[in-house]
Amino acid sequence: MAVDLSTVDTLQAALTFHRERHTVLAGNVANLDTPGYRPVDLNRNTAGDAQTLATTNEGHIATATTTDIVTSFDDGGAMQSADGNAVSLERELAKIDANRARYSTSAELVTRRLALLRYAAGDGT
Amino acid sequence: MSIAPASIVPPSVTEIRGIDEGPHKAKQADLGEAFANALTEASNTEKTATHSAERFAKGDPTMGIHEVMIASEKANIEIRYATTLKNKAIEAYRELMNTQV
Amino acid sequence: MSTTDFFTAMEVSASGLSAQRTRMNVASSNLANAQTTQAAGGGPYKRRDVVLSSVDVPGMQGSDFSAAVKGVAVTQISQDTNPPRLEYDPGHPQANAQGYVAYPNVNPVEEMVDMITASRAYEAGITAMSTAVNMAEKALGIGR
Repeated sequence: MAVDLSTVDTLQAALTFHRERHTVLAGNVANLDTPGYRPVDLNRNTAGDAQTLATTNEGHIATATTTDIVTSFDDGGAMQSADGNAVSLERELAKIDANRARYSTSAELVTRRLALLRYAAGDGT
Repeated sequence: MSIAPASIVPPSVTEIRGIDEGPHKAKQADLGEAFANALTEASNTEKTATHSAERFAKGDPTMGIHEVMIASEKANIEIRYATTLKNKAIEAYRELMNTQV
Repeated sequence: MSTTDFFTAMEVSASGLSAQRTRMNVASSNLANAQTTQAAGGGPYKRRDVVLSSVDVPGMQGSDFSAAVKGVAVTQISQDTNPPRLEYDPGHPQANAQGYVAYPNVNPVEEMVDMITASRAYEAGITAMSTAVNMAEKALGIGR
């Protein structure tokens, strides 16, 4: 690398994860009243957490960077309605909002980092 | 001809690298080498950026907004860096040529 | 590895909005026809109900987490198969030989609850969709 862009790559992986997570959470909201539906969520283990892989219960999926392991898991809990639907609207909306905040922050951080690198690459112009 | 003084490589960029990696020492490459690397990198990132933009424009669902924006910014940065090094090299050469013997 | 952009998230939310709107329409139709003793095809209006199921989202095939992402669709609009509600009203033009009139099995309270639930779910879908748009706009700001 002529210019060190590794932080940008890490932030890009974070952006991708949060976007994927939003898609999954949106699916939970869409299935708010579907009989028998149990909500899903995504979990991310970055490089240092490889040993926790054994405890997650769904399939393991590799994503954008080779250091990130993203797994999906059933987040339904014991509370469910008579038809088996286990989605709690409040919980999903709260998660969606928190996830959005993280995405925004990562986007802001990457913007600032790129602006800084751009300035440095132009030698102060 | 190689120009040795590493101070010609913009210090701001090497300082940024220091922030990223802590104790890692910025490489004191000679300018010609740094420039050659910068050109390669600029070319590669520019290709990636163009490719990403094309895929996005074609509606490829796997090319996301932030991927395409970041790729384009990376290319921008690498090209600016290569241009800066080129300017520094020319400046150094001129100075050398103007030295009274 | 493949990921999908925000448009997939919006499609997922859109499927929810669509399904809830259908549900709302069906509940409205039931309410409007609660007293209809003579529907097209003879006999009283038959109450309708929607059957919702989670469906795969088009464009997700091949993505790493396609199994985790589900949209929703109305797979069936079923008609009530129970016998109609009978009311004793010998003076009514539609009264049968015993003086009973057959009314639809529509309970207005139930239909109102359905409409409120559908409306709440619709609003939640709008929130999810707006969030996706908001995030996409934030992404567009990278590199400015």
